[in-house]
Amino acid sequence: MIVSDLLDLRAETTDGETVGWTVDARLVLDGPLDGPLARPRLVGLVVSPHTRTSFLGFERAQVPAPWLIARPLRRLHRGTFLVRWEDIARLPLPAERRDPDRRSAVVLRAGYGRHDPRL
Amino acid sequence: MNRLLGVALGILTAIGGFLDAGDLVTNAVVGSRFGLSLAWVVGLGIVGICVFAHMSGKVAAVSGRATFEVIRERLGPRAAGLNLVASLAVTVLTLIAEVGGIALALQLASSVDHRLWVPVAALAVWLVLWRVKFKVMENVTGLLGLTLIGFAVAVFLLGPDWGELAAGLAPSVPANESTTTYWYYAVALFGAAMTPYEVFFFSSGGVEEKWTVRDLATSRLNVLIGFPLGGFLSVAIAACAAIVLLPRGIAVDSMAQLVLPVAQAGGMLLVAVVIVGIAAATFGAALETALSTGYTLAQYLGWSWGKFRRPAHAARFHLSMIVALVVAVAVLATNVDPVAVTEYSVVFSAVALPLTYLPILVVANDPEYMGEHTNGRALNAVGSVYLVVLTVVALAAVPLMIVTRAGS
Amino acid sequence: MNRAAAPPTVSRRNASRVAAPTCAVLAGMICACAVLGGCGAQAGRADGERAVIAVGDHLDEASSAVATAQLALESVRDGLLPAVTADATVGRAVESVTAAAHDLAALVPPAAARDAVQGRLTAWDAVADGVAAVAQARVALGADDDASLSDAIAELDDAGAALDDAASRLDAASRLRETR
Repeated sequence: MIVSDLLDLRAETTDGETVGWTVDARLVLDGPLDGPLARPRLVGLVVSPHTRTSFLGFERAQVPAPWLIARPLRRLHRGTFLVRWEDIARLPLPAERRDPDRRSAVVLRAGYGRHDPRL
Repeated sequence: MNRLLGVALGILTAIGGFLDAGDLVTNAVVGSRFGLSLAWVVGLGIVGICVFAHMSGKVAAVSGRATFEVIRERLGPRAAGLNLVASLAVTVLTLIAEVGGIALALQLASSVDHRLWVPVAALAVWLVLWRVKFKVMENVTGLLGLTLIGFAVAVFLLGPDWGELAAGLAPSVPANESTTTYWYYAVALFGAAMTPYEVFFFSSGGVEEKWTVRDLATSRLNVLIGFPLGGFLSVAIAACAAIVLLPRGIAVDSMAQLVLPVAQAGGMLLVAVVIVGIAAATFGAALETALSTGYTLAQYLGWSWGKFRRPAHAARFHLSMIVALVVAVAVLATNVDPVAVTEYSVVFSAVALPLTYLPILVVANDPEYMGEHTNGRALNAVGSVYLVVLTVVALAAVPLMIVTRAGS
Repeated sequence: MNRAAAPPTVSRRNASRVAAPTCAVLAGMICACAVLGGCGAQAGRADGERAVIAVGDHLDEASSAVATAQLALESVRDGLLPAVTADATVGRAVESVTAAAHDLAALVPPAAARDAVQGRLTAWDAVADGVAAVAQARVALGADDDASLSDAIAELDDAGAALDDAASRLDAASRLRETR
């Protein structure tokens, strides 16, 4: 599996209600040493409720500038949240991902937590 | 003392390095058809390139990351891939124009047809890319390119009516030109001043020369003094054409016509000086654009890159530059007019502008990369205004090109 | 992220990800070449008014080339410009003036538009003289003596005047049509 298997997917609850699209994956470097760096571990996925477009990294920190770009992006991505990997019930199979209607989705566990997407 | 010398050298190479085939041709064409009524666009472009070159230099110095690495990180593979295609196409087009420009300059000195000079020029460019140290390459072409000051000298020797010349600076459309053509050339001049490769090259050069936060002041001085002086030379080229060629009804369509006003002003010696300048400026720009194709591709695909590495350790980087040069020679071998290629390259540069400059503006504000060196309010305000201007210019460029049939 | 442990599909997918941008780059270059190919001459049928404008444009192009050659030769005569540089300059002027002649010949004004048809004929004579004068200028540069230079300059001067004359006649004719 590569990281783009996790991105640009619809995210839905177990009831089938769409809650947004996966726009980013969040990793931490806390594994055992692998070369100079610790091996990365997937913490969860960033889900944006309104759009599947790029957030240009503005979700990572509370950067207000430049206003002209930050403001519309923030508005477009309002309500973005982080879902922990443990809260993901099911990922689409590769065959489902190839489905042209894109009905495939990441299914979130019932009672999943919405976390702050900032680092 | 040593530091002062370094700063002076940096400024001088920035002046010489600012001008390339696109600037030379576009300014001469505009001067011969519109006088100085479009000089304001050069001013606008200079402020823009100063703002964004300064930002990308700052990102390179603080984070150690070159522009396209940043673009790839921020836009993700797909959007950055599109950006890569656009930037690479424009940069290769510019490279074609520069190699053609070297050949035309050599033709002026030898009267051997420029088509025969093309392979020689490309080979010379490759040899320098392969063997010569980055710093030496930059300084030699930059300092030789400084001989383009001959155009400014020519303006003084021509002794124009200064009041009339200054009055011509006001934006106005000449009687025998249409408003759309005026705006088409405004876009072309803007694209020539702000060509994206300059930023790729500037930031990657910062990484090549291992800039750190301590070099920020030097880099800022290079940009803020060097580029405006380069812009001053651009206007001098336009002024030469406006003084000598415009009254005679000569509309510039070749590199050769650039030296005619210089001959009128300073005779053989000044012509020789300016031809050296044209050859050096186009050669330097050919090196920079060839490197930029390598930089953008390698930075997008995560290859090891840089002239500070031995070619064997950055093989794909060097290979992509060779391929770009081969493409340039192949296109020029089709007998296409290098001046026409140059004119198209500056207009397509204008189209690609927002793609290059948006990510720089975003990253220069990100404390994760920049720590305490994020943009101040004033810089962000100017940057944002320019982003709007760039977007308008980019959207207007192709329609204007179609309506004016590329300015004819 | 450990490549060694990854299943083989990973590397194949990676290969296709590298291939996609490469294809895109190629496509971009092909587009650029297509654009370059489009730089060629514009020729064809045009309505009367457009034809007159086009004839005027080609006259301007031709007189620009003639003026370029004249300025280059005058500079050589006055010892301001090396002959090799002038030769390159005039060589380009030959290309420009023949391009103007080519475009003028390729233009097809509608038969009903008398002023366009007549304007094209007058323009053709002037442009043809211009081609001859610019071509002769290179001979004079090769001969490198003052007499042939002066002759060539005089010839260019005449050709330039004829072109200006043709342009003003075209102007007058089209203005007449506008008032009619």
